[in-house]
Amino acid sequence: MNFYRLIDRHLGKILVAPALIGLAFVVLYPLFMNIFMSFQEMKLTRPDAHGWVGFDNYKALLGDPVFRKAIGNSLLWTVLGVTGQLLVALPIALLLNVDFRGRGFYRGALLIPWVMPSVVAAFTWVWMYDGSFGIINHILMQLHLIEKPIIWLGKKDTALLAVVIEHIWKGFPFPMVMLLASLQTIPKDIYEAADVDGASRWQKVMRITIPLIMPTLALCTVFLTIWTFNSFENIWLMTEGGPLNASETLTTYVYKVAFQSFDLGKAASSALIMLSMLSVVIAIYAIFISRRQEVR
Amino acid sequence: MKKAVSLLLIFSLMLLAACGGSGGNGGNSAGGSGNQKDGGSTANQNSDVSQNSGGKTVELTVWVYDYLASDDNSPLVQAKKAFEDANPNIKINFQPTVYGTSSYRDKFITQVNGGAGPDVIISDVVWVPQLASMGTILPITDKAQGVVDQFHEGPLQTVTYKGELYGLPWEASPMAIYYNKDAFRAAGLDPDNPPKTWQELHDAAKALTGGGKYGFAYMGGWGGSFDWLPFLWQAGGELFDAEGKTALFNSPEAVESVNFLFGMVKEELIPPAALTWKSWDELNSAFGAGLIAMYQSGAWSLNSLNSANLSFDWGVFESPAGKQQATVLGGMDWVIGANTVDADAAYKWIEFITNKENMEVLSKFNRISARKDNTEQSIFSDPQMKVFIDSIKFAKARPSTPVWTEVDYNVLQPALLKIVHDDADVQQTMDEAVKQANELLSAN
Amino acid sequence: MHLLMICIVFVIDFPFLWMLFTSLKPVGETMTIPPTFLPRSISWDGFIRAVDGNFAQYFINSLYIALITTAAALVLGIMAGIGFSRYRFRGSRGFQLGILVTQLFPLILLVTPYYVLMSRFGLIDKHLSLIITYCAFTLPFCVWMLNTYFHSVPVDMEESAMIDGCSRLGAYFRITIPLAAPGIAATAIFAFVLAWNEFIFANTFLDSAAMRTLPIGLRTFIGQYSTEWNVLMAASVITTLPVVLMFVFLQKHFIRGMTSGSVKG
Repeated sequence: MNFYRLIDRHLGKILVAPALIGLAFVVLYPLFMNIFMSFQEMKLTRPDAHGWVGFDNYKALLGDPVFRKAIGNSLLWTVLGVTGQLLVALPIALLLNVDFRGRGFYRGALLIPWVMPSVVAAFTWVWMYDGSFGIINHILMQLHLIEKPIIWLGKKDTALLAVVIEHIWKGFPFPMVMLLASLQTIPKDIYEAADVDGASRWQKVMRITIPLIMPTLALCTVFLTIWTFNSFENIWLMTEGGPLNASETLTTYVYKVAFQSFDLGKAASSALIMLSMLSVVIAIYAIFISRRQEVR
Repeated sequence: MKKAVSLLLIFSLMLLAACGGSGGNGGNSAGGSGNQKDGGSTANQNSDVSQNSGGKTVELTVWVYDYLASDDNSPLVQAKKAFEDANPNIKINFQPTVYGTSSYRDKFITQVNGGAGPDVIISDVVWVPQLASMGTILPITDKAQGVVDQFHEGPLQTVTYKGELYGLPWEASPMAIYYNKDAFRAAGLDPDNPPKTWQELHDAAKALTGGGKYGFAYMGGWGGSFDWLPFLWQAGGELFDAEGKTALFNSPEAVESVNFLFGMVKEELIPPAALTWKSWDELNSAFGAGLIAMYQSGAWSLNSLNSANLSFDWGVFESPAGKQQATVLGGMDWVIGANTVDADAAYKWIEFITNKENMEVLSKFNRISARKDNTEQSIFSDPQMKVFIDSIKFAKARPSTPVWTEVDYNVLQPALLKIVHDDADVQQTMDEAVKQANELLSAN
Repeated sequence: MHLLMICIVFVIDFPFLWMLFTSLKPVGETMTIPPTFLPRSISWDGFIRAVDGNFAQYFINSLYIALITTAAALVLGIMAGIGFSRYRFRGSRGFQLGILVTQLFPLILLVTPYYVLMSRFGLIDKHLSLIITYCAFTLPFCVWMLNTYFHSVPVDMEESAMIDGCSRLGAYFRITIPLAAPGIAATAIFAFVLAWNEFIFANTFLDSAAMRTLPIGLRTFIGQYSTEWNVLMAASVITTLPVVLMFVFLQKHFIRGMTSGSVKG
């Protein structure tokens, strides 16, 4: 009997332990390796020139105008990407929450962008954006909205925006599903009670729905921010950071440093800078949830 | 409770199946060495060397481009069987790997740096200097003494790094110019007399542009340096000096070549969409759709165009001469991985597959051998192939310095883009680019 | 209402429809100027060639890797989610945040360290290496999401069940988990899709052709010099639709909507 009591007392930690141990294992090791490498000169193409260089890598990064541009682009990319995804996901989730016939089909159909393999999605959009083969230009010209095709991915002012649109399109189903799940756990009685009190639809959404899904919404925002900030494949496949660094984000920059210049030390330093930027986001979220805890 | 327990049981059973089943059943004709790849934490431990009564059998893992060994009927697989028959103590396992800079080259680097990696791989010619400088492939200068002079100069350059030979060249693919013969006739040009000089090329492109169609095109998605190199060399310019320590692409000849090719963009002889094109597909399709009348490409486009059953008459002609004829070389080399279990056996294979008898393997893929006697390949009788085979003698390889990729993508291509996008001053931009390139070259 | 939804679906799924129609076009019609949307003549060539060869094997490989990853991530995630939402122990807040930190690393830099790790354990060219890796990637998210969903299930429900004679664990199984079903299903689809579509790690860890997963199989259609678009698109349709159908099926059976009536007061 004592054994069960012991388990019961520490059940929380026991439940949590496997996940923690597994994660510690596969995350702490690369993290420490990375911190170590960031202070080293480690170009794979010059095996003889390895060694400790202190903060040189960081200085080189911050002195590189392309790196600074990448920081700016990453921030812009993240703000646009996250806002866009949420702005598309939330209204659709609200629509799908209404009990109408066949909504299962619509839920599935709207999931498609997210499920499509990212390489195919990227190529499809490159193709759609193309100046000669692209259907987007074709349609816009048929509608007489433009006269000549716009080279979306080839012009400095439109490249980043064009990739953001693909990112929003591909990513929104995830927050949509999350928010929908959260909406579905709101008991119907609360709405019924509000109806009894004569609440309008708008009031119900603002006073009941949004506050109740706020935890999920906040968490979605955090994860979307992290993933959008760290997203690499779609930008790389569509523009590789070009033209002329117009869509260069920190992720494409890191990739180029690691796999074109083979400078692992510098790549490690860039990764740590990215990590610190994201930690700010996490810190803000941590404050948010601790405030919520107090309110509870 | 019972449901949970049974779920847990099923789950653990599946987990066990994943551990045991995968490696053991990983055998098929193409790559059954999954079982032997245990550990790999120490070098030279990536394949078993099993003892049998007759003698030591060596098992080599060889990476090939996925499409070269898609099934047992592939000519390459047939050649492998012939090799194994002739060398009973060497067994070769092909591992078809997806071609791509990150899916192939980086995978190789990761595996070798992780202590393992294959014994032999096919490598794109442009990767060899990097792989050599990282120590991920082995020099074979001594072993290859006997066969070195059997190959053309250009392809040999692609496997040479710091004076040492790091592999044997297999396929050589130079570029030539594809042209729409019907469009030529419609524009009043003679399709049997394609352009031989820059002037003729420019005039033809101009005559062929109009009515929504363009005379020329290039792959501008990164900047267009691959398409530009032939023109640089045709003008008599150079990328780097002989030691590879100084950049020379701001010379008057180089500037002349930049003005020639990218001048065509400014004159709108090239479709604006070409600035985003990153694949041969786009050029092939634009050509097939009649949008462009001429473009540079290698023999690889012959297959695509032939199978597209184009409605018009088309052909290929040799790169024109500026001061001289020149074109750029792509291709494949065979190299030996640094963690190979048996360098001699590995060398035996690559010498075998690049010898004269096996030239036909390449012919069956419609590729050109890098050997000097490639004129004896059966495909030589095809007049279009002949153009490419003849082009090898003036084809140049890209520089064999490991920082070429960096210089190309970070310095050269941006410079070309600036000239096209921002209408930047050519001499100034190239001077600036040379300065940056020199910094990269000296740091190496 | 239906009209609105159809419009939305059409706009959003337009690229997918484009992909679908391309897969039905014969080779010559795929990249034309001007572009065509509907195929002029339907050709099944794309699909026939897509499933030729080892494609079925890749499908099975991807399927069971994704299923095991999802199951593992859910089990560990539900445990941790309940643990964090129902128990307050020292450092629990710190651990929760620590889990989030694991998501911050750019994935491409993790390839080499993970390869070395898997190599040490002899897991190269084995599917288990991917299952472990994908679990590591999805677990933080699963833990956090499930934590949030479990928070929304009031503790009183378990307590009233326990008053009725249920054990604590029993209460979790019979009350808490079913009530969070929508969240669990959503988390499951996330883990599944990640494992289903991941390429870089799969390509680096797997060597033999028979071990390949679908994303690797897809890339084989992207040739060095030319791509067979109709085949690639057909393969993508085959890769995408089953997952979507699975989700629709799960929705119908797993999620009964709100359990109205069971919560009073």
